[in-house]
Amino acid sequence: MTIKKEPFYKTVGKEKEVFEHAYENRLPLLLKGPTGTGKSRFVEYMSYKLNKPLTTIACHEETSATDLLGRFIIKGAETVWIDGPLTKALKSGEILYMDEIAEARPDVIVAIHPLTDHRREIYLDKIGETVKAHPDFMFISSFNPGYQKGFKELKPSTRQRFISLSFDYPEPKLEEEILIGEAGINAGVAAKLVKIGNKIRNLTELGLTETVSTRLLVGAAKLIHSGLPKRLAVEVAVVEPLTDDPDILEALKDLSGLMI
Amino acid sequence: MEFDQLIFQKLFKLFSKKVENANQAFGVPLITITSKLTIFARALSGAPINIFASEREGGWQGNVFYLPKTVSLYNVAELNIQFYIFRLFYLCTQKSLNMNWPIGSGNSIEESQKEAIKQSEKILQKLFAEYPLIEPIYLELKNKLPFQSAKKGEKQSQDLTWLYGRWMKNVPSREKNNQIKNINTEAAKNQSINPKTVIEAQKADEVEILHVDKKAQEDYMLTNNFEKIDTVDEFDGVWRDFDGDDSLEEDLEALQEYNLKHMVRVDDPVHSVYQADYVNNASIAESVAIENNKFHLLYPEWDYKKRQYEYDYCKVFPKKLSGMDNEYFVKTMEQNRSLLVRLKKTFAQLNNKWEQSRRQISGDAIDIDAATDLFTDIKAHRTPDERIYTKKRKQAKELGLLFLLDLSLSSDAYANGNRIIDVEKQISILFGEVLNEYGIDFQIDGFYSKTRNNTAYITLKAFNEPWLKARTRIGAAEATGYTRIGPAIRHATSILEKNPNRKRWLILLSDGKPNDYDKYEGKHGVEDIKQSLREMRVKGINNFAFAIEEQAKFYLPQMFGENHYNILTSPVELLNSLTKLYDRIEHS
Repeated sequence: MTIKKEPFYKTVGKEKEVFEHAYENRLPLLLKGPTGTGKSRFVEYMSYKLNKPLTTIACHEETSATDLLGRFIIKGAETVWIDGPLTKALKSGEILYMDEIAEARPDVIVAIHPLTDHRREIYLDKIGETVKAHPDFMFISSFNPGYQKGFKELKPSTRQRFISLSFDYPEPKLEEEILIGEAGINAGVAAKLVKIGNKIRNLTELGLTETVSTRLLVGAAKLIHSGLPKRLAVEVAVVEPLTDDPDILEALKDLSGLMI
Repeated sequence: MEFDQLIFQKLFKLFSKKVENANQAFGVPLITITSKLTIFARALSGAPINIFASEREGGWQGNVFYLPKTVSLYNVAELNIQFYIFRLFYLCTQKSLNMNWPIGSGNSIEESQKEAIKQSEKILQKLFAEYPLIEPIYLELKNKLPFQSAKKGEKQSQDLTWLYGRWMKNVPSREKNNQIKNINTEAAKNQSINPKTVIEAQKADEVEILHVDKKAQEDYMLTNNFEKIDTVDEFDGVWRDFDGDDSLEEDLEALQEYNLKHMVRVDDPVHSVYQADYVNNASIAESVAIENNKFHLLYPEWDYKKRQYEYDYCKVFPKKLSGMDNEYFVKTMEQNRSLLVRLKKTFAQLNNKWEQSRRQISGDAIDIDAATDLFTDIKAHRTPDERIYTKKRKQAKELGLLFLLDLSLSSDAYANGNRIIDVEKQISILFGEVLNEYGIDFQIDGFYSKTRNNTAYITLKAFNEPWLKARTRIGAAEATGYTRIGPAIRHATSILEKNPNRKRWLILLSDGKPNDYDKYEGKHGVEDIKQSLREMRVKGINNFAFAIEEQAKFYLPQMFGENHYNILTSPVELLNSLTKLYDRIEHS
């Protein structure tokens, strides 16, 4: 997929430079960070800036190497080989983005190993072929670190194959600018939303709620901009998606009510 | 009570009776909104704040906020709730400015109240700048704050201490080499005696713990009736003995007047409970080495402040429970017969799920992928793989489960009418029955601690032990001691490490709160547990925790992280979610 319109992305640090240099040297890149911190948006943005097509694969626990590399299908009386998304991207020199790579099955990790070192190739065992990467090909993956977050974790031997960039919630001032840029709300409301977000993030560290991502705050900002009352917007876009515990829900509604 | 005492008591009551508060009907007890305020406090401050009822206006100390036990200052309940919310925002701001007395200062209550009023302007300024919506609430609360009756010739005034609280002493950090001597390790044997009376105590702020000196205690002659309370009013260095008679109700009147400022910990069984919440902020104690000659293992403890291990810091004494309680086993089986039948059915469903194995030499159906590969290989003039069938079969389990039961005194408490330790034991028995039937490798252990020098790790059923022999032992486990979870997890890890199965899981059943004599509470305990779990995961062993107490949601997630804990209140719920977890483990 080629991205035609420039996606809104507010640079937080030196991530743009790191990406450009990684691309120049064709080094694989790993984006780490909690959900909704702009990892996918950043990849789209860079794909637009570099003018390279992008393939995104969302990994889940059933994602297997066959799904990525390709498989034979029966067509009439013949068996036909179909390239998987990874093989396609590799051949045509796209940017390949594998989201939540830690969730995929172990055979996926094994399959991508030769792709992430100097060899830049994959071996398709079913057709006995080695496919070398197109010079423009770049491999990016993301994962969500955190203490005992999921059942699976990325092995150190895999992590060491990537250049890594950490994503976190932007500083309040920047996050406000993102809300203004994305939703067009005024600075006062943006500041309040960011403050609410940061206070609830304190609870995330204590394990009481899921995290308030910038994405959620953008959602609330958009609702406010289109005319929904502020408190209601925060309730439905920020508080409700976080938890189902009635006590915490009520407390968060009251707390955000006192802050907006 | 003697007749003259009775007369005196009535007269005393008549004269000392406080004027009834006209707003009492609109009073809001702290306990009804503690949960909400805790969430507020943690969100606003970012620290694991706990909220406790105060003697009067309260303040903050460390990570504890003290708030009035009940507020009936205003004649509308809504305003009394607003009062709590205002105080909470105020305390968060005061804490962020670190405005309190320095460590070790000894100011009187009056001075502390005066200082609070004097410095209030600064706090309010910051508070309103940060949370503008609190200002109108404050103004309304201040305007409607009732005037107190003035002395002759004086102007009526408002008692502003309610709004600004009082200053408290800052708390010292963790220290070493402060040892308890003469710890009584024998006393816990009689723990099966249940308390008959429970009365909630008057609140005391800034509690300090004194270390019992048994020797001095023995030398002391009894002089009054309050030796049952593990509390010493106006502690003056002399000790009296603690016995266990149930005469609490008779002493209630005088108890309510008691100041619970100084406390001691004892492990004698009790007949009456005078219940007081407190957080041990001020003092730290460690026991001297005991039972040094018995077999023990040394484990490290993680010091998060220094970011390093204290090597060989904790002594774990592995033991085998020698007692037996066949009656308990029979009773559990009888009482939970229908539950057991249901559990067995669910397990049968889970275990009888056929797993499809692909690429087999023979089987019920053709594996399309393999067949396709076969044809491509033939076309390509290569030797094809003949394994082109799928077969359904039951897989070997490859599973090793270790149940770790919290046997500390806190599991002697009740949650939703169920005694926590009984829930733990009953679940172990029921689950043991089923796991045994399906040939799954499992072990059941328990632990309790008395300081870092003595963590008892009791094996109720070892991995290689027949269930028939071990099952009567579960009932004999009794609650005693404290909860030092870290060393127990480390020892369990070393046991699981030796288990040959591919999937190895530790399942902790507890009330989840780490504590011990020697300050294992708070962040230190939590961080040590987190570190012990990290060590465990590095070794490829998974963990999951079940807490049998509603309040656990305020601290369990900090230790176990998302997706690795569950909070429940009844045995049926626990059984259900344990079954779900088993399904998840089995198919992970």
